Amino acid sequence: MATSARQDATELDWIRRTQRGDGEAYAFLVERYQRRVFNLVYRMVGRREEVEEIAQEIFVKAFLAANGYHFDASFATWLMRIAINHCYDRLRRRRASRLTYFSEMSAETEQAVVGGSESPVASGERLQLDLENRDLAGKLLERAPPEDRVILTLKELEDLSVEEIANLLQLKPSTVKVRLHRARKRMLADFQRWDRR
Amino acid sequence: MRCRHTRKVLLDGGALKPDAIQEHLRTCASCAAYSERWEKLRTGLRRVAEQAPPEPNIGFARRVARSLQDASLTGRLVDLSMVRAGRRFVYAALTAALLLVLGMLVPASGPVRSPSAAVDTAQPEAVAAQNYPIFSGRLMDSDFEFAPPSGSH
Repeated sequence: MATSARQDATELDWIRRTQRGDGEAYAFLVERYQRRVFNLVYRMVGRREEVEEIAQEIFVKAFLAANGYHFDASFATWLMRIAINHCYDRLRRRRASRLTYFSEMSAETEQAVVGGSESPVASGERLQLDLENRDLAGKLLERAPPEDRVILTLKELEDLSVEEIANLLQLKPSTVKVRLHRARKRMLADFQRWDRR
Repeated sequence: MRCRHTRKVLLDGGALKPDAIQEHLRTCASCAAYSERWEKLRTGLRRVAEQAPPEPNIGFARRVARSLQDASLTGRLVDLSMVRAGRRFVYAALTAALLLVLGMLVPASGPVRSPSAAVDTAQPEAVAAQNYPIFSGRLMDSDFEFAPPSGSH
């Protein structure tokens, strides 16, 4: 508890110095939260090669907005909100420039999905099936509308509770439940189109 | 209604299935298939979640801090915002110009200022003069000139 309090005091100091424009103090905050941001960005955006660039944009954005942090939530929550919004914008831009999802599905995945009905499912092939399911689920997640993707990522991949998601997205828990239900339903309908095994 | 309720519980309730739902799944092939698909999808999502995210490169935090203090970054950010603002200004100016041109063109083709309207409201003489500006007077003069003088024979 004493260690935690000391860490919080240290973090408060870093935050206050950051708000005065101290980049060195901000580096400590970046160091502390970089893994969480990388993790979230990777889950949200799903493209390994884009993670570092997006994470850097998020940290720059957070630094420029540091004076807007009023200590009413934890710094982590505030930073994650910025990260979620940034990823959401990115997903929307990406979606706007996309033709169709199915054109993006790799030939390997299509082959795996279509060919799956012809191959017998033996116990040794369970891993292969799991990998195919993972590939398909990943692609469906990528195809999902940005608002669905955000909520599905937070729930299914980050394994956050409804209350935690509500806190992050600044929504009522009941709203989160409704949106989550709709997102799952839409994704399952999409899954059905491809799951012919 | 029962199928609808079952599917709602399946989607919202996670892995736990109440007895009534289990019973329904045993008797309804459609809901059983729905449940199986949902389990497959959840398994796939769990596998996605197991994929390790990339690690931040060594010195990432320092690079972020350096980039913040780098004047060129600030310059780029300002430039970017200026470019965006400039672009918005250009769009707004183009829209205003377009509206102005439309505003000038639309009344000119309407009933008030059109040439045909002016002709309609003018006097018949004026219309005749406008339509036959060369021949109207001369024909009249010619009539007088070539008409046989009365009482000359």
